[in-house]
Amino acid sequence: MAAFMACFVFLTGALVWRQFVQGAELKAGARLLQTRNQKIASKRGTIYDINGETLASSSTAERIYINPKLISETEAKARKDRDEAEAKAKSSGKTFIDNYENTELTEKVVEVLTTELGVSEEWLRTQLAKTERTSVEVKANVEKSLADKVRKANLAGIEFVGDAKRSYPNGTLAAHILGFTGKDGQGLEGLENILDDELSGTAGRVQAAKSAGNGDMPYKNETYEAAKDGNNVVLTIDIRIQKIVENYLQIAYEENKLNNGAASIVMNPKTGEILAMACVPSYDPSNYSQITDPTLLAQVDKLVADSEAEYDAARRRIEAGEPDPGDENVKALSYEEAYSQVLLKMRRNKAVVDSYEPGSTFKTVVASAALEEGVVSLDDQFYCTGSKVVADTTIHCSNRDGHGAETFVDGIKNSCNPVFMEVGARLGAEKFDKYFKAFGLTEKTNFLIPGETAGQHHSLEELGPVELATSSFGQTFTVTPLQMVCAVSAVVNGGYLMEPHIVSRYTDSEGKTIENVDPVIVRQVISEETSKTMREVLEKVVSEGGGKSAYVQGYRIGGKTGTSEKHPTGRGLHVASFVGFAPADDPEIVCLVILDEPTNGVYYGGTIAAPVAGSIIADTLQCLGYEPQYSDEDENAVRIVVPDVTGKDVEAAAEEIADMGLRASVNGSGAKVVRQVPASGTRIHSDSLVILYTDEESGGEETKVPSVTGKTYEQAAEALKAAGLKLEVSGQGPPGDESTAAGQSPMAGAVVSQGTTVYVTFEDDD
Amino acid sequence: MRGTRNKKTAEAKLLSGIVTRPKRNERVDFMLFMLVFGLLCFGLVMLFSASQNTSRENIYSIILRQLGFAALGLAAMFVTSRIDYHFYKKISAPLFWATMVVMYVVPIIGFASHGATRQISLGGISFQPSEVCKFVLVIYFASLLSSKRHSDLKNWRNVMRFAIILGLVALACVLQSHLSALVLIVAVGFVMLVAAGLPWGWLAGLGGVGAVGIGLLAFLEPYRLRRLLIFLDPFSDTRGDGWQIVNSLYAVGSGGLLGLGFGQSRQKYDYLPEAQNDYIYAIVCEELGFVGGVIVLALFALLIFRGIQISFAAKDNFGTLLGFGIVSIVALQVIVNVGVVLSVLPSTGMQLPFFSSGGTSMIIMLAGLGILMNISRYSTQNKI
Repeated sequence: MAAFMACFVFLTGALVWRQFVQGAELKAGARLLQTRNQKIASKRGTIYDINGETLASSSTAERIYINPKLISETEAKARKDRDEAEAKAKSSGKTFIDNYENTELTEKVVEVLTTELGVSEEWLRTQLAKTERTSVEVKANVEKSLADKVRKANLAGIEFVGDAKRSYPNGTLAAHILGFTGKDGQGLEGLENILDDELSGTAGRVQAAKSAGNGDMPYKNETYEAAKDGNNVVLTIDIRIQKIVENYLQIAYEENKLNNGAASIVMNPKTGEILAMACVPSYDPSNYSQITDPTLLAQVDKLVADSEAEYDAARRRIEAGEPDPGDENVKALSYEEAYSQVLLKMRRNKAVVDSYEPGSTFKTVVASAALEEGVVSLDDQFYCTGSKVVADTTIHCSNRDGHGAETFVDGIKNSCNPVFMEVGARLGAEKFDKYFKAFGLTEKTNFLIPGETAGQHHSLEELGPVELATSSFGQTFTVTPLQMVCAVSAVVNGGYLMEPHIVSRYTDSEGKTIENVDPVIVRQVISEETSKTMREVLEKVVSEGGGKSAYVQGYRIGGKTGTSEKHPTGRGLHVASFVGFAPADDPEIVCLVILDEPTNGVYYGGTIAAPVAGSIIADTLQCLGYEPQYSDEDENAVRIVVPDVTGKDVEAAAEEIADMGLRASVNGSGAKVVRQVPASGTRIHSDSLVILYTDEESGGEETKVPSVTGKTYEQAAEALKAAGLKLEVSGQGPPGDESTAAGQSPMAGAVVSQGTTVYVTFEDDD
Repeated sequence: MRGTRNKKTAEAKLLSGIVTRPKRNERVDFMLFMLVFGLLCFGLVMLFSASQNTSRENIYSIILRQLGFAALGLAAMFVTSRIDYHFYKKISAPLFWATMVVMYVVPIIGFASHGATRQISLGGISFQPSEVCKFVLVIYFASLLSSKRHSDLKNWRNVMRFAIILGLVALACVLQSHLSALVLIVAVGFVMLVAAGLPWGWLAGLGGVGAVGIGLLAFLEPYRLRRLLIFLDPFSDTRGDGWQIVNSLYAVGSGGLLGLGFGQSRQKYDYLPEAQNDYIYAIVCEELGFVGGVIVLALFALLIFRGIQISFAAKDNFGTLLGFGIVSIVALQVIVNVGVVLSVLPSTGMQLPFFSSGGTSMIIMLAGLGILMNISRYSTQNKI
């Protein structure tokens, strides 16, 4: 008796153990077994420009797949169950009620998919017959409402995947700001990456109870958690200004054969709002693993060649028995390695991530500090001999003949290094360091781009007389373009260092504003008065001094040029830059243009960067509603609207452009112009360059792009060849034998010139 | 002859200090009846829920059948509660041997189900003799142990007699591939022998023989060994041998304190095989939670407690042993069944009295408890 009771106590203990101690674990296991989970993708938020233009958006489409294996197995099991039950009923003489689900599953799947999605029945049956497969795509880009209809049929083996396709309607525009998303829709670069949590939302799910045979339970304890769509982001970027900036930057890039790209930022100095931020060469965020820029492609080749040469040299040294240290470890880069290196460089947002020596543009900061501290006044007299000896080191002026006697204002206008060395010395290391920090040049700006850096500078201890002297004209330290724009904004906006921001506000999926991003004043660096003085002086730089090329009739523009030699010096690598602002009396925009490693002979900021900035500023002001202050005739005289010459014969086009007072440069050997930079309608200076692109080989005959989707590489190449087009594999790696084309650019049906390259992406067929 | 001896035994028992002269009470023990009836109702209700999935064509098919069996069982209980239990003592030997004949005939004429031949068909109704055999063995053991000739268990000849009887029954179960019946019958036999004063040494010896027998069987038929040991780690083979146990534990674990609610079991939908049968207790725990599971255990514990009280208050040794044997059948079935569901014992296929579906077991169980009720009528105390 006691033994029995002990057993019962033990069993109660076991019950406690199973239900409470192990309960959660077992419950989770049971849930997993009992339910069919379906993820409902959340819609990724849209990125808008300040005027509501879409920069990046996601479709609500879904992809529908079938699982032929599951369908055939489920059907087979259901039929077996039914037959068994029927046989049993027959043997016991009962009437058999056939209420078994899924015995005609294949037919139901065919019926639903053909009627709702309009797929071909024949194709569908072929796919369903491949019962070893677990996933066959039936249709991509299915509207949610339509997908819901299919979902409602609730058939086993039909699966839905939210289509994570992100589209960038403006192509390469603002690519370095936006970044891109990966295959599963996760943000990988740029704002897409850093605002991923904001944009991605929360996926929902349907959890439906199922019996072991994958049928439904009569009690549908189905839980439905709606997906929470991601928030939208409204940027401070103005797509029109962004276009202006990218357009001019692209011209400068090509005209000056920039080896290391170019960057530009247009910011509202009063608020810190970034109106445009561009880097060239740019890329297409929807095709982010592809380099199309010829300069970059050449760099890939050069990287490979250089590394091979280095490898060979190391080998030779080793064979000669005189190896340098580390020679054993020298390896030659493969093309893919070099390609991915250049790819990373291409995607980098130079304006935020790369630091550079600001050169003379930095004199704006030094001058402000000196005026603020009262160590110099505008009329102070200086004498430039062409160089200055600082602590036994002779440091030259950019004008080696010397500027002679000059006032401080002249020193700024002439960008005279000895004047600034003197002014720097008057400030002293401590004050210099104080202002350097106060202008925010030592810290990151808290900007929403992944990988922001803060540059490198001398610490106060390191700041000896020579370092102070060189630093005073913007050499021997680095800052990022963004830091520079912010510092110069503080110089001209009344003295306030603003935190730069690129997001104007966040809205929810219904468009209601969740959060407004307000301007943040970091600190006041100089007084309103000093700032006013600086505006006046810097306007003179443009109207009378070294920044003349940035002058645009009808606008009051102030600014400062900059040319710095890249470290290590002596390689002839320069950074040409210009920082400008307008209107000079009450700046609405500050614009920085950086041209990195010009290789077309001229490298002075005043010569090559200033006109770019001037054009950007003028067009931007116009765009913002600041009309130039002169008559229409004058405008036409000085500002020429680029005509549309695409489709014209090259010679006729070049003539037309020359007639308008512009220069034409022809790229390619074809007879017809297929593309032009700048685009028609752009206003540019007289004597500016218009680059005309022709197709290379054909006589300019046009052809229709055939569809290659579904074809193998060979088939696609043949089809394109027949149409006089070239095939380039897009995406990484060569296509395998099993791969078929999944996408192409340009689209099938597009009319293009013969010889045009068609980029085709291949996907493995399984 | 035997009648006289019975009287003497009764007389002896009377003289050994029991206060009032035993006489037949008018009523069966009310508490016992209420417990049996309560468990029966509870069991039927749970069976209705647990059989929802299995009886797909008609959700009432299984429960209606079982209600029929319950009615027959209650009728049988009514009859047995009115038959003077001394009647069984008279017929115990022929009853046992007749049953043994049937037991040995089953593997020959019976029909197979689930890979074992343990049922015979009587006029279209399948019938499981091993269910009857349990009670017949109890009657036979009680009869032998209460007789002067055989009751001295210090005599090894007597012990061997019981061992041979048990061995015969065990062999029949083996031939029927009926492990659960084997375990139960041998265990009940042990329990009765121990209650009758079997020296511990014998018990160890017999236990050893039983263990060797079971071990031998397991090794000869390895699938049994695997099934036997999988309860130690059912998650090592969730899709194979462990499937049933894992799903049983999933059901129990899903229940928590109050369960998912009556009828809300999910595991009964093809996950848990035999949800309406051997594993119905798992469904009870899933739907009614810890509370439900403990209530079932408590009701059975009370029934066993009361049954043992009645047995010990029986007017004679035969009554005591018979009652105790019957209670042991119930107790062991419940313990093994629940132990298997909670995976603390190896899987055997034991049914839970009153809950599991099954005709023979239901009718025989109720009839057996009817005997216990009859014993309560002859209780030595008016109120126990």
